[in-house]
Amino acid sequence: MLGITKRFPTVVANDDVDFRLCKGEIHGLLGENGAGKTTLMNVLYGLLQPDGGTIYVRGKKARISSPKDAIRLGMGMVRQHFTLIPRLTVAENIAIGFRNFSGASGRRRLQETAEKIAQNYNLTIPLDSMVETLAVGEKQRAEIVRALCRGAEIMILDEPTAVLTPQEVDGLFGALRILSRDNKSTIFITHKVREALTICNRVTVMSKGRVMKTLPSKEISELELSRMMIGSAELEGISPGEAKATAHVEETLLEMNNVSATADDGRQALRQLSLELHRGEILGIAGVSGNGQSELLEVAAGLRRPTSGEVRVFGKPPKKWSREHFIRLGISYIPEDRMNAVLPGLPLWRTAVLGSQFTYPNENRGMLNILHIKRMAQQMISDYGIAARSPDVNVQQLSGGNLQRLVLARELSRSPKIILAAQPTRGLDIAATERVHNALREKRLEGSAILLVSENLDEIFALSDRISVIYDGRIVGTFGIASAKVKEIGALMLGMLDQNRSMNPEQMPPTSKE
Amino acid sequence: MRLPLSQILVVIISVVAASAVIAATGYNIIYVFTELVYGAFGTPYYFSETIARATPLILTGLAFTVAIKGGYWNIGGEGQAWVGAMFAVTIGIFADLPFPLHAIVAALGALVGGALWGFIPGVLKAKLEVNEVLTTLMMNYVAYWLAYYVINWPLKDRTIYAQQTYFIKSSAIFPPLAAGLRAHSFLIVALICAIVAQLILSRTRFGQEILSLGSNLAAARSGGVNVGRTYTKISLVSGALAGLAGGSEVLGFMHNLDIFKLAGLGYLGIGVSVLGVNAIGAIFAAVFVGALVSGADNLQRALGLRVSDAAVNVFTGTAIMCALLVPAMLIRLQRVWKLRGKKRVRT
Repeated sequence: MLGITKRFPTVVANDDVDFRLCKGEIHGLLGENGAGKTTLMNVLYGLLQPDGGTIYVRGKKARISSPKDAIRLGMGMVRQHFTLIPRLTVAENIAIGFRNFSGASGRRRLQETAEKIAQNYNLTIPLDSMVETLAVGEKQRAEIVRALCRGAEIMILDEPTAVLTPQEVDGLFGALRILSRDNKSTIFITHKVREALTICNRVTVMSKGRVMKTLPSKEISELELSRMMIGSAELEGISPGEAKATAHVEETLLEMNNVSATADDGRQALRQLSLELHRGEILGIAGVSGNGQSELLEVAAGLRRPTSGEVRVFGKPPKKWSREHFIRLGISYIPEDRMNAVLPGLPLWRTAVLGSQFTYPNENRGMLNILHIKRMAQQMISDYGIAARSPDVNVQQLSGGNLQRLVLARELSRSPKIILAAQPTRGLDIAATERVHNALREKRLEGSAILLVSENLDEIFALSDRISVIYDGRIVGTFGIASAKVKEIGALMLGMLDQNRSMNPEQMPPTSKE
Repeated sequence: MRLPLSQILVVIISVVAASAVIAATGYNIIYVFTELVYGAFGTPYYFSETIARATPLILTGLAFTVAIKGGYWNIGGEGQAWVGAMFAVTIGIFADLPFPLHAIVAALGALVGGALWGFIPGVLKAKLEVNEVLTTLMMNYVAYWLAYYVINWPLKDRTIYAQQTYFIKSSAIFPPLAAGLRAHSFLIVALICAIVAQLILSRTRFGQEILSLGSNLAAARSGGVNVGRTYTKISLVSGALAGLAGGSEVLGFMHNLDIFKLAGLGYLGIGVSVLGVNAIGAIFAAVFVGALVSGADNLQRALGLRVSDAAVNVFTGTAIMCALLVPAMLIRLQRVWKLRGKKRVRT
């Protein structure tokens, strides 16, 4: 792939990207979220059309206008979200869309092919089970077998290990090594440095839509690689603790003790996590996404009830586990995906009042004070520079940045005592990011306690008073900003837990998994 | 985006298309069309017939509107109307009360009956996440056959052969709007309901919760909306409105319950709701559909027995299909238009 460029309305996801995959190699594609890895692969697989650049497959220029073309060229993709149909068996899923495998003889051929593949690559899957009954790892194996049955020579795996247990990861790696021995190539998308170095022959690092470097994995260390990913060259310019007036008072507003919680899909997302959030401070939660951040925030927002452990808000356990109660207590929540916070198809003021539709003067005896609400919405529009003509425009017409500003305006206007912010600047340009940061700093000075979740270490370092690192549902380390080191935090984020660091024994990993 | 223009277009296209269907069986389309309009609006009596047909449709239309605005697919207006009608007819026959009170109590009975029937799928969705489309739809059958039993056995009018209940007492009747007309005073209830529903949706906390839920469930949840409780409340209100529609037919129009005469109200209500877009719009949409029914009746009389019942049903069906299709197509067209505009800008 040469000179691939892909622009989206607000960002350039791939900027003149060159990527070369050799036969028989396992090629790691690394980068933070939003670095453009998945976009690049979607272009390769025909799911997106590039705005510029050319793709060559086996030396020949290829036009890939749909996944169909990609499959014909011998590509197979296993995405983060599986594309199997839950109500069909594994065999049926493999057969879908492939004439080779239809009819009675086709079924036999399928059975043989699949069994051979499963045997060759150690990818055991129950062919006749309904997909919905399979465990995540099995589903992934089924996806891989499906691609191989269709004759894939180039496998694209998007974050394949994110959902697997360590044992399953070993199994997957075994299969990848055999694939490589059979001269099949694999593109392995990940943000876990250690894994990439374990399994890949070469790695390509992407950051902000550009390729930083491609090099053999033997020639680089984990730390160098993670620094390259995070782009820590920029980090060195930031002096920690800069210009931070001390608003910090030792008054604990939010406290979690040994909190455990399960995610929607039933996996354990928080494991006896403990933290304290003080008045007038910003506590940055650093971590690679999917390590329990969303669940942590949902628990703190009253949206998710912990399975065990204790949560104290202003020193007391909450009376009720409802979002309404938590809002009344003064806890604002800026969710990661702003689309999860706005009301498309309705006038802007409906989104502006969401979350305060039950507080005076917006509401009185069940009736909304529309006049007051619209005035409030208008205030938000002018205070935060939201590009909207009036509070009556359909919120759908706003651009992503404006939506983000609207959500921020709404959540901060409630004069919250605790602010939970998830990736508050993701997808924003520099000016907009600066505005968000200033708004959060201002709230901190006013005495709010802010829990900031971000994958962007620049952001964490720029804003936080203290930094906690979350990994696998636990806080694995907490640092004052003055003593925090990027290297150390990066290592902790990636699960390279330094056992010698003195830590609370409760925060150590449990010995067995339930 | 939703201009009244599109609604007007809907009316014209659907009436023309439906007339064309009848004309295809060998009649002059102009003649068919005139008879239709005449039958709906031609004389005060015909117009009152249109209004009489529209009255319950306003209510079933509202029932669907209130629910769908909250993302709750209440396909069960039909069954809720049947249950409401059963409550109303029972109170109308047996209760012993003076005139206005008796009628009001019977109407409240219809409201409670519909709400109860609507509540079951609502609470199932809230507590167990059971899909309401299936439960509301299936409960229509339960309600229908329950009514079949009630009409043929406990409340059967033994003096006549038809499958009807006894007539309700005159004290329970919502009187006609003028002597000799079939349009009746339940219309006032329906209009009040429409206005109240509009007010609830546009200026109450409950309305904000309904609309948030219908627009974006995740946003509603993080905005403090109790999702389960809101679904339950929606199901109660929606069921109550559909129940009132059943009450309207019994207390204002038929004065008994006839197994053949109530059917289809709930389903037509869905069409009314889609056509009407919002609660006030449901009034006009109901009048339109009422006019179709009333006009088709006249058409049948005008063309004599040569146009069968089936043809009339084809007519109403075609019209409502168009009513649903045209707005969808307009939106599509609009989108194509916009895309074209954008492309031109880019080049």
